[in-house]
Amino acid sequence: MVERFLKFFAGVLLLTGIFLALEYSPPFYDSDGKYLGEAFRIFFMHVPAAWNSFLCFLAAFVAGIGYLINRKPSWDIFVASCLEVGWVLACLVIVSGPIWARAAWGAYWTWEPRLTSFLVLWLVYLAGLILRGSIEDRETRARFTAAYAVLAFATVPIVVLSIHLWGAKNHPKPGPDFFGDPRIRATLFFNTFAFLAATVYLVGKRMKLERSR
Amino acid sequence: MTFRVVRAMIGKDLLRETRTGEVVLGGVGLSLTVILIFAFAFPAGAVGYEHAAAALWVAILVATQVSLSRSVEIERSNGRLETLRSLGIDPGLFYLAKSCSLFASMLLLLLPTLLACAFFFQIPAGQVPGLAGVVLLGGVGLALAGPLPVWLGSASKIREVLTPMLSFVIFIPFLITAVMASRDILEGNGFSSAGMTLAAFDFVVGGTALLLAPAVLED
Amino acid sequence: MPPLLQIDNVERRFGDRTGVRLDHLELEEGETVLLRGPNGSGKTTLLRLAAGLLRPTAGTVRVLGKDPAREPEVRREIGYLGHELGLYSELTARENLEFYSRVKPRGKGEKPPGPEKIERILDRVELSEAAGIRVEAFSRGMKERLALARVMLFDSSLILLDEPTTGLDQAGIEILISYLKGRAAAGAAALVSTHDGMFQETIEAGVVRLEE
Repeated sequence: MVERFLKFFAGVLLLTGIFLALEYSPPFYDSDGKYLGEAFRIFFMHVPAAWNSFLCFLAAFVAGIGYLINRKPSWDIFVASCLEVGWVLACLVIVSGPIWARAAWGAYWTWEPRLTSFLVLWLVYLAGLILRGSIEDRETRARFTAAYAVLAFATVPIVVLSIHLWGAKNHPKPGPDFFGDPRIRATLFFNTFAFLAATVYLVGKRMKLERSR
Repeated sequence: MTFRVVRAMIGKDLLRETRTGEVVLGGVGLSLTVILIFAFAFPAGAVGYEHAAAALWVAILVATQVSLSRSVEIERSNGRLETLRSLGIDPGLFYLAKSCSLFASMLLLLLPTLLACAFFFQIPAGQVPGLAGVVLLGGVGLALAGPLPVWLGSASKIREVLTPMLSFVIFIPFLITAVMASRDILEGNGFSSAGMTLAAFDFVVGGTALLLAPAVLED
Repeated sequence: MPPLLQIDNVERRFGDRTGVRLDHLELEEGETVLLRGPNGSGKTTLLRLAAGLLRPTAGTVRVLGKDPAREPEVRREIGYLGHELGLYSELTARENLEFYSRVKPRGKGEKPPGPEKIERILDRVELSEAAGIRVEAFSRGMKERLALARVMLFDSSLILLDEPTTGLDQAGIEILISYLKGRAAAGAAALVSTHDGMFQETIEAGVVRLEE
C-alpha cells in the first residue's frame, strides 16, 4: 500500500518536475551575464541526482556504522540498497553532465576539479559494489560492505568542497546571482524533492528484493 | 602491552625483510622506475616543480601499493593472522602494530625515492628537508589507512583486480593534498594549508581506518 | 565454575551451505574428546567456532562461560592449532616461538615464556637441532611439531587441535599424546579433530561424530 502510493507520488512529482524544468523555468544566465543555453535545463536533473546520491551515501555511512555496532542483517540490507541506488544516481550525474558540457563548453569532458573528483567518487563506489558482489560468506560480506561504506564516504566531502578548494574553471559556482530567479530556485527544489521521493521508493524496493533472497 | 606487540611486530618484519627484501626492494625498484620515466619525459629546468611533485607522489603510491599488498599477504596467508587472533590479540592492536612496522619498512623505500627525485629534478638542497617532512606526513597516513582496503579486498575472489581499485579511496585524498603540499614547498611557499590538510587527513582517515580495523579483521 | 567449553544448538552457514551443525557439546576439566566425521562435516569450522575465530549463525559457544568471539580476553586460555599452521617460513623455528611468546597477551604479573622454556619445548618436540634453521626448509611433519610447540609454550586450559597428526611420524604422535595426557592431568580439556584411527586407539578419549 505504502509502496504503491510512493510509486505513484514519485511518478507524478517527476513528471511535474520535467514540466517545470522545460516550461516554467526561465533561461539561464551565469554570474557574468552569459546565456547558458537551453541544454542547461538538464541541470534540473543533474543537480537533484547528485544531491540525492550524496544523501544515499550519507545514509549508507551512518547505517554502516550502525551495522558494525549492532550486526543486524536488516541494517546490512539497508546499507547495500543505499549504496546501489546512490551509485545509480551518480551514473545519472556522470551521463547528464557531459551532455550539457558539450553544449556549453564545447567538450564532453574536461579534467576540472569537480568532474575529476566526482569520477573518483563514482569509481570508489563502483569498487564497493564489486567488492560486495565478490564475497560469498554473508556475514563477511555485510561487515566489509559496512566498513567500506564508512571509508568511501570520505570522497563525498572532497567532491562537495572541490570547487572551493581548487577553484572551478568551468563548473558554475552556486552564487546568489545564480539562484537569483525565484522560478529557477523553485524548480530546482521541486525536482530535488521529486528525486528524493523516487530515491526513497527505489531504496525501499531494493530492500524488499534483497530480503526475498 | 601495546608497545610490546608493536616492537615484536617491527622486529619480526625487519628480520624477514633482511632475509627476503620483498616489501622494500620491489617497492624501491618500482618507485625509481617511475621517477626515471618522469625525469625523462619532463627534463629538469624545462618544466615547473609541479611535475617533480607529481613524479614523487606517483612513485610513492605505486611503491606503496606493492608494499601494502605484500605486507598484508604475509599475515593473511598460512593462517598467521588467525593464529595471532587465536592467542587473544586484539585485532585493532594487531592492525596498529602492522601499520607501525609497515611505516618502518616504508622509510627504507621513501628515502631513496626522495633522493632520486631531488637528484633528477635538480631540487635545491635547502628544500629537501621540507619535502621530506611532507613525504613523512604522507607516509604516516598511507601506512595507517592503506592496509585497510587491502584487507577488504583480500576477502574477494578477484582481489588482484579489485584491491588497487579499493585503495583509490585512500590514495586519492592523500595524493591530491600531498602533491599540492610538495609543490608549495618546492615553489618556496613553505608549509602551506595543503600541508595542514594532509596532516588532517592523517588524523581523520588514519583514525577511521584504525576504528574500522577490528571489524574487518574479525575473520 | 562454568565448563571449559560449552556448545549449544550451534549452526554456522556459509552462504547457502551449512558449514556445521551441532546440538550439544560440553567439555569438563581433564576431559579429552576426539572430533570425527567425513570430509566436509565441519570439524574445522567447529574448532574455529570454539576458538572464537568465527561467529556462529545461530546458537551459543561458551568458553569458561564467555563468548570467545565477542570477549577476546578469554582466548588467552585457549591453545589453538589450526588447519593452517601459522608459521613464518623465513624465520627460524626458535624465532617463530620467540615472536609468538612476545605478542601473546598476558594477565597482570604473568611472565612470558622465557628462553629456557622455549629451549625446553624445542627439545620436547625434538627440534633442538633444527631450531636455528628457517622453517621454509622444514618437512610437513617438522612444521606440525613446531606448531604444536607453539601451543605447548602457553599453559592453556582449553586445547583445540585440528588434525594435529597430519605428517607426524610415530614418535611425533607419542609426543602429542603425552602432552595431551599431561595437560589433562593438570585440569585442561582438549578437543581434537582426527582421521587417524591409530591415534584414536592409543589416546583413549571420548568421541564426538559429526554427520554430513
